[in-house]
This record gives sequence, C-alpha cells and structure tokens, in this order.
Amino acid sequence: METSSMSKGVFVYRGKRSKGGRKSRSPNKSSPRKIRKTREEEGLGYSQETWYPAYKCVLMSLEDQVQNLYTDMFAQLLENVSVFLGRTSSTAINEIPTAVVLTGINLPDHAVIFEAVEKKLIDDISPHVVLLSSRTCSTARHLFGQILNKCQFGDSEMEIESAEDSDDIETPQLRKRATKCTFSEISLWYKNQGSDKPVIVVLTDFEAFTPSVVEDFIYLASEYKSEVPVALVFGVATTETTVHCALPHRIMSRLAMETFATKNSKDVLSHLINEVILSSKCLFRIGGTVFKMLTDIFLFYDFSIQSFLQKFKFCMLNHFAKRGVFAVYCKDDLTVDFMTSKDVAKSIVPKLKSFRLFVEQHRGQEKLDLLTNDDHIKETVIRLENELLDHFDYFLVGLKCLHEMTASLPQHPLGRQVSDLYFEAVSKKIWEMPEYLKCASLWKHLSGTELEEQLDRILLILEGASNELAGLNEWIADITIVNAKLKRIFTGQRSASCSPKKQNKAAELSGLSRTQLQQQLKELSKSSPVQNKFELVRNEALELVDKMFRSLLRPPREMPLHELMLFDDLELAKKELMGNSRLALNKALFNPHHYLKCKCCEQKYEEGISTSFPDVCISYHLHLEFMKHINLYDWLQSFNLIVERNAEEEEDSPVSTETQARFTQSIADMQFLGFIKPTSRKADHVLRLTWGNNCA
Amino acid sequence: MLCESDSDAISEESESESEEEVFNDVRDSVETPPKKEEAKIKIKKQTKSFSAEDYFDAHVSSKVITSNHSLRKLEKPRLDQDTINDALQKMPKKHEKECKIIFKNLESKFRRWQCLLLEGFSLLLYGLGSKASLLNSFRKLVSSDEDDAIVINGFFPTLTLRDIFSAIIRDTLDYAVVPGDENECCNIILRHFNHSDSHHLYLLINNIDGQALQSSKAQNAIARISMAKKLHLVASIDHINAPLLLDQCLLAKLNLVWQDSTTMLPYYEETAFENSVMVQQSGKMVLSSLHSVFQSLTTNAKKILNILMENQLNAQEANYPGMSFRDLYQEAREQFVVSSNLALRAQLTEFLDHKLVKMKKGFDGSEMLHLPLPPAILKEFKSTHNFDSL
Repeated sequence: METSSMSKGVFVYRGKRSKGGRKSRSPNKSSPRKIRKTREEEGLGYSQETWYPAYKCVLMSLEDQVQNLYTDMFAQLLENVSVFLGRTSSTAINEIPTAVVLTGINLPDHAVIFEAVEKKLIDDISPHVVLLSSRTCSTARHLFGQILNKCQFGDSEMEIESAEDSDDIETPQLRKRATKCTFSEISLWYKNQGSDKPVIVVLTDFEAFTPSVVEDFIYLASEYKSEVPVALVFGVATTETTVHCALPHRIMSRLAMETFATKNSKDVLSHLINEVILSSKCLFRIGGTVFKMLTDIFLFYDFSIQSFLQKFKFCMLNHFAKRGVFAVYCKDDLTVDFMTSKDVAKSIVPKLKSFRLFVEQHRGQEKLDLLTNDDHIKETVIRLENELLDHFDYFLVGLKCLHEMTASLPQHPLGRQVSDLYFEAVSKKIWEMPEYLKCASLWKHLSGTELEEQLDRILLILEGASNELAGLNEWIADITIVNAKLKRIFTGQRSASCSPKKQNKAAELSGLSRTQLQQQLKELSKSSPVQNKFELVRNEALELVDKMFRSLLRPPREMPLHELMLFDDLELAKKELMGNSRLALNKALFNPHHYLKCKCCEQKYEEGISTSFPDVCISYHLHLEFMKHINLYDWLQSFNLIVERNAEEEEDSPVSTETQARFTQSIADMQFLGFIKPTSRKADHVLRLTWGNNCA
Repeated sequence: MLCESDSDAISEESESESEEEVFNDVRDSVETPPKKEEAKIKIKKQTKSFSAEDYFDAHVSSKVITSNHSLRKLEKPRLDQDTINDALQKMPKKHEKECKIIFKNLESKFRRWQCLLLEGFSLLLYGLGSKASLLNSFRKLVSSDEDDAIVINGFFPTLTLRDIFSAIIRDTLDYAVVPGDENECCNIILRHFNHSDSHHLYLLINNIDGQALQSSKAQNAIARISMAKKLHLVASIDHINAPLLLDQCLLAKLNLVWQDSTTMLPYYEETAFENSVMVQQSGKMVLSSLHSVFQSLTTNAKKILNILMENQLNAQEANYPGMSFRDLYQEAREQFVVSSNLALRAQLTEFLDHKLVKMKKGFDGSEMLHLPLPPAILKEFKSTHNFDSL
C-alpha cells in the first residue's frame, strides 16, 4: 500500500496546484480566487444537491437567532464588567482593577463568552485587550511575550494581508516576534504609544495558569502601575475561592476584585430551547426522542451549548440529506409546488409510511384517486404539507399554554420545562398519558385566584400568537367568557358572604328528634354534595382548557407526511453522535457473522467457536475462558485444536508453522487492540486486560 | 460518549446484549431499536450477560493458577516476522469475498463522509479491522487537483507531533521554516485554513490512539487544528479503551461524528513494528542502526565498545547491572585505548548521544554503563564484525 513504510509515518499528497502557485498568484491576483469560487459554487459533490440551499438557509437563520440570543443574554454581564473596569481604571487607586468572571464548567462555551468580552472591552474601554490562555503562558517570560506580541503586531489577520501584499516573498515568512520579553519592554512600548487607555489582560482559564506566573505578573504590573495602567479579567470556571487559594495575601492585596457571574448554562439552554428551537421561527423541527437525547447529553455530560448546537446541526444536515428536496421547512417554499405531478406521485407516495396510512383511511373513489391520479396526489400533498406546517405552529402555542398550567403543580408530573412536554407530546397523545391525568386531577384543587391567574397567562400567550394564527381566536373568546364568569363570582362572593340556602338547612335540622335527624343525615350523605358556583365555573373552565389542549396538541408525528418535517432517526443520531466503539469491537470479535454476513460462520454458530471464524475471533473466544493470566503455550494448543478440528483428532498434534504463524498474527492483533499485554511474571504469559466470561 | 463510558464502566467485557441493556438503563425513555438480527438471539443463548460481579470474580486476590508449559516445548518457540509473513501469504485468506463487500459498502459512504467533513464535523472511524486501506481509498477520493491530503500513521513508533506540523506547514503551506513552538505552529495552521482563500486539507490519521499521539498535548494540538474551517480530520481508533482519551473539551473541539467502519481486515501493518509477544524479537532494525553507527567510529571508539560488549556477554548474572565507569576506564587504559578520564568521557558522550550505550546510577552511586540490547543481537553483531583484528 502507498501509505505503509517502515521508515516514516507521515505521507503528504499535494494537489496539482503547482508549488509555485502562491508566486503566480501575484501577477494575476484575482484569477485563482475566481476559479476557486466557481468550484465552490459548483459544489464538491454534495453542495450540488438540490436540498443544499434549503439547508444552508435554515442553518443561517438558526445561527442568526442563536447569535442574537447570545448577545441578549450576555449584554448585562458585559455591561457590568465594562462599567466596572471603566470606572476603576480611570480612578487613581493603587490596586489593579480585576473582574473575576465566573464562567461555569461548560468549558467548550468559554471561547464564545471571551470573544464577546474582548469585543465589548475594545469598543468601550481600550484598544489594548489581550486574551491569554494558560496553554501559551507556561512562564512569566512567555506571558509578557504574548502581551507584547499581541499589542505590537495586532491580530493575525492583518499579518496575512501584509504577506499577500508583498509580492516578492517567495515563501510565507514567520511572524516577527518580540525578542525581549520583560515588563520594562511593555512599559517602553506603552510610552511610545502615547495613549492613556489601560492595557486589559484577560486570563481565560485562570485555574490552569501556574500561580507563580500570575503572581509575578501581578506583582510587576502593580509596580509599573504609574507607567502602564493594567486591568485584569480572570475567567474562573469553578468558584471565586479558587483565586483566593491560588494567590497569597500579599498579591491579593494588590487587586481590587469584583465578581461577575455568567448565566447558568442550564438556563441558557432552556432559554435557547424556548426562544429559538421551539419557536415558529426555527424552520427545522426535531423529533421528540432525538431532542431528548440531545438535551440528555447536555444535562448529563458537558453542559455545553456549543456542542448541543453542533449536534442539532448534525440532525438538521441528516434530515435534509435524507429527505432531499422534499424536506418541508417553510410554508412559502414548498418544493412540491414546482414539481410535476408525476414526479410527486412517484417519489412521495411509495416512500412514506404515513402517507400510505393516510390513503388506507379513505374508501372508494377517493382512495383510487389518491393512488392513481397524479394531479390529485399533488394537490393532496400540498394541502397536507400546509396543514402540517400550520398545525405545528398551533402545537407550539398549545405546548406553551400547557406548560403554564403544569409548571407550577406540585411534583411536576409533566416536567418543569417546555421541552419536557415536547418530548412526549410530539409523538404521543399527551392527554392519554397518566401524567396528564394526574395533572388534570391536580387542577381540580386549584384555588380561584390561581386559576384566574393561569387563565390570564394563557390568554396572554394566545393573544400574542393570534396575529399569525387566526384559529386561536375562538379559543380566546371562549376562555375570556369563562374568565369573566370566574371574576364575577369573586366580586359577587365578596358582597354576599354566605349562601342563605345552607343556613336554612341548618335551621331545618335543629328542630328534629334524634331518629329523624339520623334519617335526614343519611339522606344528605347519599345525595352528592351540591357544587357551589365557583366549582361549576372551575369545571367549565377546566373542561374548556382540556378541550383546547386536545385540539391544539394533536401529535404532529401522527399526521400524514410528518416524516418530511420531523427528524426522528434516533438510531442514527445515537450511533453517530455518541458512538460505541467498544460495543462494535466486541460484537465483531464475538460474532463475526454480524458484519461478514457469511454462511459459514452462521451455520456453525451453535457449536461455539467455528473453524471458519477469522483467526483473531478464535483467539478472542479462547481468551474469554482464561483468568487474569494466560499461558501462551496453552492458548496456542487450544487454537491449534480449533483450527485443526477437521483433521484427525489426536491429542497434542504438533503445531504446524502455518498455524503458529496465524496464531502469532492474531495475538499481535489482540495486543494491538488492547485485550492483552506482555508480563514478566511468568515465562510465556500474557496479562488479560478485560474481564468477564471466564469459565472458572 | 456519555453512555458509552457509563455502560463500559460496568460491563467492560464483550457482547452486545449486556451493553445494550445498561445503555437503556441509563436513558430508559429512549426507544430501543426494534429489529435486531436473529444472530443476537443466538448470542443470548450462548453466553450469560456480564454483571459487575464478574469484575470482582476476575480480580480476586487469590493466586491465578496457570500451567507451567512454555513455548520452549514447541519446535520453534517464536517465529520471526518474515516467516510469519511468508506463511500467511501462502495461506488462502478467509472471508475474502465478504471483506470486499464490507469494504465496498464502506466506500459507498464516502460521499456522505465528505459532506460531513465539509460541514465542519470530524470523523472518527471505529470497529474491528485495519482501516489503513480504507483511509487510503478515501484519500484517493478527496485529494484532487486543488486539495491536499496528509496520511499519518499513528502506530508508527517514532512519530512525533512535530512531524505532523512540519508536514502541514512545510510541505503544504510552503513555509521555509517550521517554528519550534507548538502554539505558533497551531496558530499558523489555524490562520491559513480559516482563511476563505485557502485550499482544503484533509488530515487522515490512522490510529489517533497510537502510542505516539496518546499524550494530551498531541491530542489537544490535533483537536485545535481540526477546528480550522478548511482542515478536515478523519481519524481511526482501534484500542478498546481509546474513547477514554477524549474528554469533553476535546470532543467539543473535534466535533466528532462516529462511524462504525468495521473492515475485518487483519492488522498486518499496524503490528509490523516488532512489539508483539509471540514474535521473535529479531532486532533487525536495532542491528542495522548499530551497524551504521559502528561504521563511522574510530578504532579506539570501536575498542571501547568492544570492552563493554565483552563484559556484558560474559556476565552470568540474570540482572546485569552494567559495567561501572571505573572498571571501563581501567580496562581501556590497560589496552592503551584512552589516556585520560576525560578522553573516555568524550567517547562515551558520542555513544550516549546515539543511544548505543545507556548510563544508569548504580546502588553505590557509580555510573553503570550497558548496551540496551538482548544478548542474541549482541552476539550476532559481534560475529559480523571482526573485533580481534582491531
């Protein structure tokens, strides 16, 4: 093979782009760029696909929304930090103003936060903002060098521009680097600069810095305070005490610290879900199970919004790639409109299970039309797609209303978040679930004021959405009536404090003999307790709300053509986003037929280890029977027995060179895979590194 | 990843059934894939599922009893690599047809892989079987007139991170010098491949879990450069515990899509570097390097080496500590090889630099010198060179 060699491990394959390609770029600068661009447009195979623009459009809109959300969420924090640093760095105090930003343990997201911090500080306070990570600052010298480099030579992009402008340069040159890395050098640079803006140094991962480096830096910075005003920002992932533990008091006393907390990443996620993913603005709809998987990864594993979004993007890409042009995402852009009826009939009808079910529901001529009349099929498909898209918007509004009603209930039978409701409701009739019934029974214990508040809030949600969804108006009308009734009862009750009917009854009872009283009480207990006015109205309201949920929350997954809109391929998502390499490895070793699909291994399976197994699988099966230590000789003998099974069955038949070679190779494979390792405990023994299934 | 580490902690050992169960326990609401091959039912019959108890059974403190047989009972206790290769070459290959079908199926996924790569994901290939030829075949698809590709063999024993950087920076970006600082290298790469004008580079790593790339420094650097927009990473893993290398920061940077690419091909290449237990350590590579260094030595230096070798070969002890510096000096003086302590030291420095000789501190504080080679190789080496004529 081309990539195997005993003397090197790296193989470079260059494109035909000539080595002087960079040189030739200078005389005719625009041409290569142009070529490249057209190539990009033509696509590298997949971007040629017709679905790609749709995917890109949905992705862009999602990214925009996320960006806006981020800006909104961090706005307060950034403002606070900037105000603090602006205020303190201008006053003449001896201490170095230090903003400690508690970033939380979701490490992958920190880059986004600090990018925003950097931008804000450059805009508001000073152009000299230096972002440092512990990776590049192992010693104080490196740290100063980094600061000098960033301040003197600015950002990397400028550097590229300059490299391109100078045409004579044959090969790209390395960036100039500051040679003297001391604080006096920084102070010298600052003097030449002639501005009075502070130098802001941001340590993005404070915990990973060597404390002595930070100590030295702070000490020097406060000594040079009169010459170079410095302000610090520490990014701390854990708690503020880390700073106190890392730095001794003599250093701490030179800092004027203030702590700022970012938003809890769990809150950010729920915000993201409510505002972006579960809003009608998001054009990609994700299925309940996959969505639950993504949030579970978030909650149980990394708390990282960025990786959540990447995984979401993965789902989106797969959805569009699978459904192609038929992926339904936006009402104004139904591809079906532009297609001939014949194509629609050909491509949709046979593929989708939900459409077939839909056809089965019809009888007679209608069914025949749906199967054969292409024009009719196209019309129906367009109608169904529109219905589906419409319904999904109603569905989301319904979810929000239901969330209002369930979020405050004790024990949260249906979860605390809107997303919890979504997981279930998107594929199941939620009103048939026991959790919903439990909620319904809890609603019966709501007090008048609580119910009134909740109805008010539901009305607010409905009214907010009713501009675009006309179908909500009747619900608004009905609920307003009930709500008004409820309000009337309360105002009425205050004027007439006690119902006269009950008093009369009490008076009746008082004048009776004992037996008569007994009789009377028995009768009273039999007759159902009379509902008062409030209870009547409450039941009416609850019935109405229940009816509304049943209509709004019809599961989109049960509607025809839902496959075109919802991505619900849990198996794929689980397999490719989480991976299970151990399972695959063990499965292949234990049961090679699973992958090979050959006849030989399948038939003889019941016998245990088959002669036809690949060698490494035979070795694997045999090694399962050993304990911690394996004698290579015995292993080889067992291997020989299996391999030579068809030959005459004679004890201790001599091992042929071929068998030994095969065994040796399989052992090498096992060692490479990490199942065994050599040991010096005993001659010719290996150590088993996994456990289980020993027959002992 | 999440579930994998959870489930594997409990059932480290093989078999789909138990893992699947644990998997579902972790996230019980997740629907189980409905259909599974009949083969799985058979597996169920075959084995008990593994439980946590098995772990303690396997790690009981009582001594494990194994037989006292040793490979010496065989005609040839260990075969050398060439014999093995010859024997395997001659033998008919099992399942050749099926392997080809699997390979074809995997190749049919290439377009999708490329699409994922261009959308900013990295690929991680796992499963049984050597993936070197698969990656090579993918390389042929992606490296076109415009785009570059680099194939890296992570199993290559002397691979360093620097080799990778210099391949990218010098060979594809045409820099004259590769900076010594790794961060600087990363920055250059990121800067270039984030630029919209840049070409695409496909970085294909065989065994990102290989010995040479296991350090967190190497992993972090690779993850960092994989974040560049036009640099696309495809890596393969084979070791059973390889997923433990990846922590949440790495995963977020790499942005992995896991691909089951079981090829069922034997690991000929990966295991060819003479580190297997059953393979006779022929030491050919060591021997050849020894030869070439030896050629360039002066006569006196050769004599010093000879003294060390004689001493080591004559030593009867199982645990040979080495020859002390003083003894060596004494011996060398007697043979009129060196005249002063310093001259000997100068000679030794050369040996130490070429790793011909290793120096250890003895228990009495003296410097002990020895050749880090097995006696068999030493004998062979000695026989090829006529030391007596020196």
